[in-house]
Order: sequence, then structure tokens, then C-alpha cells
Amino acid sequence: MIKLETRFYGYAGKILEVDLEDERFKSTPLNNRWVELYVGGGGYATRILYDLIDETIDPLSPENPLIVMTGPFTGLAAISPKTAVATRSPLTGFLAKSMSSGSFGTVLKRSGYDGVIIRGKAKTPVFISIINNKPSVLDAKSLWGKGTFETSKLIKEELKSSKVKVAMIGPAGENLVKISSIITDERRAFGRTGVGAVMGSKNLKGIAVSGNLKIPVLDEKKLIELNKRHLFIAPTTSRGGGLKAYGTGGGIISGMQVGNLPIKNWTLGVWEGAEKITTQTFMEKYKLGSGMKVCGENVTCSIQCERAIEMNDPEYGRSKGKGPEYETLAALGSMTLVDDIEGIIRANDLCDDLGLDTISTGVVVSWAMEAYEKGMLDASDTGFSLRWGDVGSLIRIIRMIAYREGFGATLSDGVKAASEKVGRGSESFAVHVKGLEVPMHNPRLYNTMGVLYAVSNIGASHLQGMGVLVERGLLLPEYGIDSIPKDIASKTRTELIQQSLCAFADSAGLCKFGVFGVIDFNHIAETFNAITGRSEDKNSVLKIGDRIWYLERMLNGKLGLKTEDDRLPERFVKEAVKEGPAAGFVCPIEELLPEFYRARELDPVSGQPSAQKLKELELDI
Amino acid sequence: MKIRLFSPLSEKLGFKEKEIHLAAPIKIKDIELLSKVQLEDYLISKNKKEVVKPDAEVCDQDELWLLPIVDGG
Repeated sequence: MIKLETRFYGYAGKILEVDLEDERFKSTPLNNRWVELYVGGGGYATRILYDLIDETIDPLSPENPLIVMTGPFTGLAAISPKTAVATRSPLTGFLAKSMSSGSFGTVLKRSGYDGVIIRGKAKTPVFISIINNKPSVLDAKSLWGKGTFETSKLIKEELKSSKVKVAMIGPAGENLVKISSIITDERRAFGRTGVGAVMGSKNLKGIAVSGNLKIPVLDEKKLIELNKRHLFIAPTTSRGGGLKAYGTGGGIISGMQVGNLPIKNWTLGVWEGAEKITTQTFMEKYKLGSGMKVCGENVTCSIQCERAIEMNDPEYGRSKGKGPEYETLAALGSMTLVDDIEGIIRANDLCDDLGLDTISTGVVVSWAMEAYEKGMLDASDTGFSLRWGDVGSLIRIIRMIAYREGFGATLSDGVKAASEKVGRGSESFAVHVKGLEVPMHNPRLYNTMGVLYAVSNIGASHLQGMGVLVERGLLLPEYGIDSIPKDIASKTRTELIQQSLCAFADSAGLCKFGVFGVIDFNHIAETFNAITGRSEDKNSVLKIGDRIWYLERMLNGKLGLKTEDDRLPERFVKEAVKEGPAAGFVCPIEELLPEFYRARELDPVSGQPSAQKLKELELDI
Repeated sequence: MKIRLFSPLSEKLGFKEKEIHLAAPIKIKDIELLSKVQLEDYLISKNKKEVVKPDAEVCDQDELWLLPIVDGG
């Protein structure tokens, strides 16, 4: 490996700017002050966006930058493979931030860049290649229209290297589907907020990276020691051990038992089918005792939550590779009442190949099934019957969404736009926040999730504050959360700390599965210091997270956010399920939100922080 | 009463589902069939609607599921 000359420990030290209009490149050194304040990843990318966009920039126009950004932990610390993509979301109109695991970010850093800022629109389809500090724009006309599985193979062939890592779009992104994702060659996804459509709007098929530059760290010996400790502890914890044993998908059956699992677009509390689709079932069926694997080639992780599947089904054909995770099993399974595990595996493969977000896809399809059941839609609207549990319809409509065909075109803009188009009262069961479809954790029972969804800077996301974990007993004693929050004040405190820690994790490159319930933030701060030479502790890490959260909020203010956008879907507030552990519960959001605004010191009308708060956090930009 | 296990515990104990007869109510931790199981490591669901601790009482009509502690993605 070649040792990289850099001013920053833990970073490659520079960002590549690409203008696709005239295929120009510019290499910019990292901004010292921004690294100090926003770390990298999501935080640094949001700071770049703050200067580049405003409310007048159409998310699908050449002027909207697409930013890929790693953090100092990415590829250096244990269980830290995360990379951020940030832009203005075509789905919500606000900040789009989506995190992916796998090797892509690590290899991007080793290619010589911490991040890439892409602007403009290529005249014809292209892909960007960055090989050991050398960027180029290459023709992708022959790749346009192809799925991500084939695209990744063809790019590796063209670049004559199997070591190349690729982040790319499928037909959904090309067709500007607003629930489209950017998928990596390891089948990890920058899944949420419609980032695939932004890549597609630039005529950009993907980014391929390769490199063997060594990123310097300040104290390598100390880092090795800390990494070893983290890797040893992780699988010995109940959270890490559970993920290692079953992957996230093991949470389907236990999720139903604790009232977390969404069923039939959040209208049921118990469903016999859960047992058929939970990971334990396909582990037994496909003898996956040792089916766990890491999420990418260069990822150092002792949890290894991915479940590799090899299926050869007479009806659905062959599937080899990453199996569906909890969010996907719930979105495409329990939400739609599809209990055919092979069918869900096929639907998951299709979403990854076509480049669709499985969460948003499952939510918008289950909304359509409910509208169909209620007679708000019929076969003359949809082209065929769209009934609960019909796996054939699910697979058919996924293709139609990706290609914007027939009724698929209505669903391709997400559940908010689809329900507004169909009307007839269907808006009341369109489950989204700010236009982003709600993930698979129940805010009626786990109230912190209600607030965290409602006020999230990217729309409903379970990864911008994992309050459900705390409410399930994965506490944060190092921050004084040493019992399950029951009253409003302790719930609010949990929400704030979770938000800030998630903002920090997204900026550093940490995987949240390797932290919450696994290792404390004293360890994380020590690791941060060993990599970068900073002098942080758990409290200063929390403060950095606070700053990044407010920065995201400020950017959204610039993009037109108002407090009325911080709403939770009616379904969680007014309707309870009748059976199961969540029976009778609704989320008391009207009681919880004012306390959140008060604690975050946000103006109740504008939803923005005061000038004094911004100064305190050095955000007086 | 019925006891349902999931992989890999089912492989370890050699059954997925078993019915046992309880003459009188008993604490879960005292069920002989589960004597080799570290019950604290599992989420114990009673009658598919209530999560209980190992010292909870069960009777002959009950159904117990021993689930992995996993909270999804």
C-alpha cells in the first residue's frame, strides 16, 4: 500500500468535484474548520449543501448537487463501514441523506478522496471512475436500462478489475422514480429519500472506485487495541449476539410479540404469516446455520448481520446473495400480508436490481392494496386486482413502479403524491412524514419513535433516532439513560440524545448496529481520538451530533420547512389496532411534540433554533 | 401447554414444538424441558401477546414461544 500524504489523520484529505456538463474535475482539500465542526459523512455533506442549494433548486435539475461522503471511522474503525449520500430529495423537497454499508466508502477513501460532489448533467449516460487518484468520465450508453446486478458486472469487466467497487442506479433511478435508490455491487443501498432519481437526473449510471492508498491514523497501535476490544465485545451482547445469530430479520417474529411489527398497513396487531417470513424460518429452510456474513469485502465486523441465501425455487427461479432484512421482510411481507418467503426474496431481488427502496415500495404498495380493498381504486385504475397477500401482484407492481408503467407511474412518486393524486380519502392512510414512507417500528407503542419520525430532518426514518431500542431496554447509561423512559421528560431526553448520536454516527461512518446496545460512547470517543488525534469525550461527541442535527434543521429551514411538516400520520394518532401487545394504543404526539420543541429550543412557529442557540453551537453561518 | 422454539435453539434441544402437561401452574424457569436453557437470553412470549420473565407463572392452557432477542433493522 502507498501511504497517503495528508493533513488530516483518518481522512484522505480531499474531495473530488465533478461537473458532468463539461466533464471537468477539481480536487479540493478538506476544510479544516468543517472537519472540526461537522466531522465528515452526513454532517460535512450537509454543510456543503447549505452553501449550494436553496428553495429554488429543483431536486432533479443539474444544479442540485449529489454528494457522496465518508467519515473518519469509515474503513478504519471496527464495525464502521458507513458512507453518506446527501442531496435535495425529490421525494420530500428537504434534505436527502442516505447511508450505506459495505466496502464502497472504504475503497473511495483508498482511491484518494473522502468524498465526491457531482453537479451538472451529462449529455449522454456516463459513469465516473476513480482509480488511485485518477478520475475519469466514461461512456455508459450500453449500461443504460440495465439492472444493477448486470451493470456492476459490466463495469468491473470494462475496468478489468474485480476489486472495483460500484455504486449505481437501476432502471428506477434512470426513470426518475422518486423512491429509487443507489445500490452498490455488494447489494447494499443508499436506499432512502429518492437519491437514485437524483443520480438518474444527471445521466449518471454509477460511480466506480478502486485504490490501495493507505489512510493515515494518529495512533495505529491504540486503534488496533480499541478495534479488537469492540470486535470482541459486540457479539457477546444481547443486541450484537441476536443480530449475529439471526440478522435483523429475526426481529419479525419477536417484533410481533412486542407490538413493533407493522401488519396490513398498520391495521392489525397479530398475523399468522409472521412465522413464515421471519429469518429463523428461512434459516431453517435453507440450512443457513452459518449463513451470516459481513456486508462488504473490506468490512471488519464481528456481528455479521447479513444473511446470504442460495435459493433455487421452481416458481421464482434462482437467488444467490443477500437475503431480505427486517425492514424489507416487513415492508414487502407483513405490510402487504404476503407470507410467501420465496416470493419476498424474489421481490427483494427485484427491488435491488431495479434500484428501488424496499421500505418505500412496500409502504406504497400496501397503501394501494388498502385503497383497492376500500373501493377507492379498482381494476380499471390499477390494470389488475391488487389484493392483500397476492405475491404475484406485488412482483408485477414492483416492475411497473420502476418503469413508470400504468398504475406503477402513480406509485413511483411515493405514497404522499399517490394518495394526493387518487384522493377519495386515501390520504388518511398514506403513511409518511414529509413525503418519506414510514419504516417498520411502531410509534403507537414506542412513543419516542413517533416524535423521532415526525421531526426527523429527512422524513420518517428509524435511523435518525433509534428510540425504539431504548424503549426496548437498550439503554444509554453513559448519558444518564439508565431506565426505560416512561414519562414525557425522559422520553424527550431519549429523543434528543438518540438524534444527536445518530447524526454523529452518520458523520463519522459508524454502523448503528455496532454501537447501540453494543458498546458505549466513551469507547467511540477514544476511537475517534486514536484515529484523528482529537481530544473528544462522550459529551463533546454528543455536542458535535447536536450541532449536525441543528445544521440539518437549518438547511431544511432554507428549503421551506415549517412546523406543520413535523407531523405524524393520522393512522398512528387516531387509530389503534384491536389485538396484540399494541392493542388500544395510539401515539400522543400532541403532548410529546411541544416538549420536544421546548427541549430543542426551537421556535414553535418557524421550527428553527434561535440565533443564540446557533452561536452557542458555532453555527452562526 | 405448548412450547415453541426457533432456530438454533430448536436444533440444540431437538424439537420445534412440544406439548407438555402441567398438573398445576408453574414458573417458567421450573419447567424441566427448559432446564438447560439460559432463559434470560430469550424473549419469552406467552400466548402470542405478552412478553414475560422466566419467573412468570404458566398453566396447562398456555402457549410459550422462546424467541431470539432481535429488534429489527
